[in-house]
Amino acid sequence: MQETERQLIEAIQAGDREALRRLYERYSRYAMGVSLRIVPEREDALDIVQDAFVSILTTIGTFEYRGEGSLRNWVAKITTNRAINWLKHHDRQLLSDQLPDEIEEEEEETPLEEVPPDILSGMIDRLPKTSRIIVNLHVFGQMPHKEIAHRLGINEKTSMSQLSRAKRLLAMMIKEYLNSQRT
Amino acid sequence: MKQDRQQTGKHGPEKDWAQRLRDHLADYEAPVPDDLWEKIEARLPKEVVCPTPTPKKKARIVPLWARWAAVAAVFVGGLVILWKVEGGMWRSAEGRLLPEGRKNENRYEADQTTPPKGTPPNLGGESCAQGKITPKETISSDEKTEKESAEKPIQPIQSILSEEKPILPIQPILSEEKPKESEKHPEDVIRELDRKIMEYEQRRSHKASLNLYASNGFGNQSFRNGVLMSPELLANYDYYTNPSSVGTRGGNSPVYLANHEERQQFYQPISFGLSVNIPISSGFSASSGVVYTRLRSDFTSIANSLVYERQQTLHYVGIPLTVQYNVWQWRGLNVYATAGGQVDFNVKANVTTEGSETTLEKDDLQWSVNAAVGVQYNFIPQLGIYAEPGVKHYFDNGSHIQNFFKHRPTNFNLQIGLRLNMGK
Repeated sequence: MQETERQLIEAIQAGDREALRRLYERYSRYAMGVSLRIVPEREDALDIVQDAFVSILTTIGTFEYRGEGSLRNWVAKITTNRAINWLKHHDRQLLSDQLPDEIEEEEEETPLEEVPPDILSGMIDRLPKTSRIIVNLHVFGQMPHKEIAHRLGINEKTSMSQLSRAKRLLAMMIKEYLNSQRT
Repeated sequence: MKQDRQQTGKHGPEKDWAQRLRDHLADYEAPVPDDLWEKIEARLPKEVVCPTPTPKKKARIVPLWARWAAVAAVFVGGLVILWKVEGGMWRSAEGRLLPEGRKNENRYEADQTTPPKGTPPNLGGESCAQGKITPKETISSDEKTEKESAEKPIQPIQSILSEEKPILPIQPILSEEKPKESEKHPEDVIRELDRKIMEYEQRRSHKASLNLYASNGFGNQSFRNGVLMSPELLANYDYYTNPSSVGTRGGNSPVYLANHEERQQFYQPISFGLSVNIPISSGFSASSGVVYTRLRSDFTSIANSLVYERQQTLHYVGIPLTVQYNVWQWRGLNVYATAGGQVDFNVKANVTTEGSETTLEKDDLQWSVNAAVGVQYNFIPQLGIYAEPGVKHYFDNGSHIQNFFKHRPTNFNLQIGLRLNMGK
């Protein structure tokens, strides 16, 4: 039976250094997935995961357990914060992008669930940079557009239109993929 | 409306696109290399981290005197004092924050937010048993959980930073942040801290560099003058008493000889230099070295159809001393401002007349000041190219030797060079 997050936290707080390793083993790949969604270059994403885990493991004592899954969310949040900060310092082009506002069209239901997760994740990686980041922050980071705009230094409307653009592009990619699977 | 649904749709009866996508990729993971844990573990304190008390308590870990001392060091200490102070601190910071073995492992420099391996953890000596686990697993909503949990790293990072007390430049960062802390959104604080730490680290990691450069001014200077008739000649022609003997002009106006002209062409100085740039504090560096400058001037005298040419060449060896401030840095690009002075020694002066070279009396010391804006791009961490357009002013050294410096004391110049970044 897998150790619960609560047991893991209790072990860490009891001074069990091995528990830190277990936390890492449990969530490092997940954090890498989060990091890669925002920073697609693997080497950069790895740096971010490394920094995030040093921060997580060093400050784990301050983590307030609030139910199973809260530790996982915390890991995701810290990794996301690190990735955004990295992005802001290493990729200024994002901030100065002159992004055209996309006209939001009413899309038909996209059969997301028919696409295997690794393929779908690959599709997200192929999105234009700003759209990809906004999808990841909004969908996976569950950030409202206002916060995304604040964090990235872009217009709120731009955030919304880029999400719309991403949805349309993803829908197109999914459609192509599913067609190719049927033939 | 649609936007609202996207943001809150997961509470609605139907899953919206974002929720469906989130659910579908909820367990998506990406592989990490086997040695990542070793790298992370090497940066952790040796003891298991204990829970921190309330955020306010942690924020007080930096003693008040240390903050004031840091502020005083920055604002009152001055450049030279800072240099001396940091000279010692720098080395200790190097060892504590970024062990040699880790330098190339991590291109993102934010790892300084945590104590490195071997650093005695300053965790307040609290028992780990004091850890906070809330007895009830009550979660009002996922958003609330994430919001609250996301705010948790804020104070710990500050407290970790505060453990780096011996590192002088970090203290002003904290000192500056503290009064505003309560007014800022926690995420703003962490972002600002990360930014400042990164900027500091980028500057701290700035090593000495060796510069090889060439410099040139803009535009030559040329003059054409008539040749005045000498007073003796004027007397022979009895000009002042009988002006009609030499022309129609009267009075004491100067009289120029017909078909006589003197031309002077002062070419812009050309310099080649080698200098060393040494960091003296975060953002500031000093540079000095040796620079060779050649000044050429052509003098042409024309008397009727006879042309008489002389080429004067002055060779200077100068010592520049400049202070540079890094204004902006991004990836391999660095923008900086530089200002300083230079003294040039005239080591050789000669004049060539109709193919015959003779030595001239040497020029006096030539002092100058300059200011420039530089842009540097590093192709690789060890080597960069830079360009410094600037303005230079040469002081009149009082000598009788005619040269570019005297006829155009202030001029624009462009320095282009290669910069070898040492220790990278």
